[in-house]
Amino acid sequence: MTEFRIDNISHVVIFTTQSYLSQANDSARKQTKVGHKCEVVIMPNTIDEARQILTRQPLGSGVLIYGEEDSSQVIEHLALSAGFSKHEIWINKSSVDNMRGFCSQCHLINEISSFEFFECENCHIKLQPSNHYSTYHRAYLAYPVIN
Amino acid sequence: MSVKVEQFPFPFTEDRYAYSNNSSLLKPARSITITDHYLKEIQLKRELLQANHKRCFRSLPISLESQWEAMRRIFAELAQSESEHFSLEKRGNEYRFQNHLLGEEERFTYRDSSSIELQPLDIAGRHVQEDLIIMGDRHDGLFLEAGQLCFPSNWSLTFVLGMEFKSIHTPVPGIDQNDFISKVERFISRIRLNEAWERKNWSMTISNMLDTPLETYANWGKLRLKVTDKNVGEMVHLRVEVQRLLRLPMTNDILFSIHTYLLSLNDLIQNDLWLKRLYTTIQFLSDDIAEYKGIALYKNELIQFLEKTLNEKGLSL
Ligand code: HEM
Ligand SMILES: [Zn+2]
Repeated sequence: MTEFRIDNISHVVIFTTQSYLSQANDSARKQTKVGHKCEVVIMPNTIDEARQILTRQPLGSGVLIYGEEDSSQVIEHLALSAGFSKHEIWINKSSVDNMRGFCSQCHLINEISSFEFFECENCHIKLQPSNHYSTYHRAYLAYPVIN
Repeated sequence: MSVKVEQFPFPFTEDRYAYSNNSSLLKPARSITITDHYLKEIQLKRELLQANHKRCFRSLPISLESQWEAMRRIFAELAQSESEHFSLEKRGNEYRFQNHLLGEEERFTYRDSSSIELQPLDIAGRHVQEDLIIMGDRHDGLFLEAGQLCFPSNWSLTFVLGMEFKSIHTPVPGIDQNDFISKVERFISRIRLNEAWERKNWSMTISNMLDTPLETYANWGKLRLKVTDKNVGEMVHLRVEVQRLLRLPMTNDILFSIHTYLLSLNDLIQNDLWLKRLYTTIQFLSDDIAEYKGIALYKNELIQFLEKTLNEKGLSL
């Protein structure tokens, strides 16, 4: 994942869905370390709420988005109309395009594209990805589904 | 394996249950307890390590120093607190640990990896009933850097290897409410050299299986669907983990030991106070925690069983 690092910003607001929360928190920790002030926000339910959060950000803020494509695009649009420029907004595309699902039964890391069920390529068990994310394995833990 | 009732560390001190930092300072500082199940549990541990080594032992190279310190510490503790069963001799850097219960000995030159065939924590863990975890205390948090884990309550050592304390706890519902887990982390970071703290964690297991790793959930998780009003007392076990946190003085890392005890409900209900406390705890358990602990699937049967027993004994709450 490319790092979000723009040197002339001092403040970052991170929008995230519940599923990406641990990734977003990890990212917030990294941002804080390089001196940015950080705020992590769970993706608001209404457009109004999101707009309010965006408009109360101080000058020199950046927006970081973790989420599925649809909701990410909504926030991106709102941020643009709230006056952020394109290079102040960063969408964590890698989280959507190449997510990794850690098979809790055989430990194989599977390439997955969403939080939908999937079948492990190695042990063929049906798995449900969770929001338990390991920065060490760069993968989400996937639990077996028992019928 | 169910333990004898007298040795069972019953966890509930109040009638309601909420996550809390229920830790207390231990004097003297200990990581290990030997129970009557020693031989059986050590045998089971060794079978698991033999059959599934990667599932049960993991380490990062950075943990080696603390592993040495933990092994020496555990052997010294055993020799001191259980001197009729264990002894430790030292000549310079040469050590000889004797386990008289097993009729075995371990010889090693301290911090010389060529003197041992397994990693230090993997050796130490084979002599104690506890699972052993090393949490490295780094400037940016506590990280899980090594572990010998044979009896986990539904988690995977491989997955959490290298992870930071707070992220390890992501699956626990409500763990971040009121900043709980950050406070616990701060508490751990303030544990002083050679100090040990103890807390109890509880859950429920169907059958008396100690080895319930996430990796085999597909096999043992199904048992939760087999609980009926007829077999609750026999199948459902209260699972208690006595967890201890010890600050290793040389490396400044944390040795986290987990001793798991199981007691069938049929045995537990012999004690009236325990019966009452378990009943109120289960009754007031929030849905998300019941779900997380896997109790939701048989909660009705469980409550009915406890109510029926209370009635039969003529007990009121
Ligand atoms: C430093 C060593 C510790 C390690 C390595 C550790 C690790 C874990 C792991 C792996 C789980 C299971 C998570 C899952 O479901 O995947 C867990 C659960 C939990 N931990 Fe920790 N933990 C530690 C210390 C503590 C301490 C000191 C506390 C509280 C004071 C605590 C509170 C909890 C609670 C409340 C749960 C949920 C248990 C349940 O409801 O069954 N942990 N921990
Ligand atoms: Zn698999």
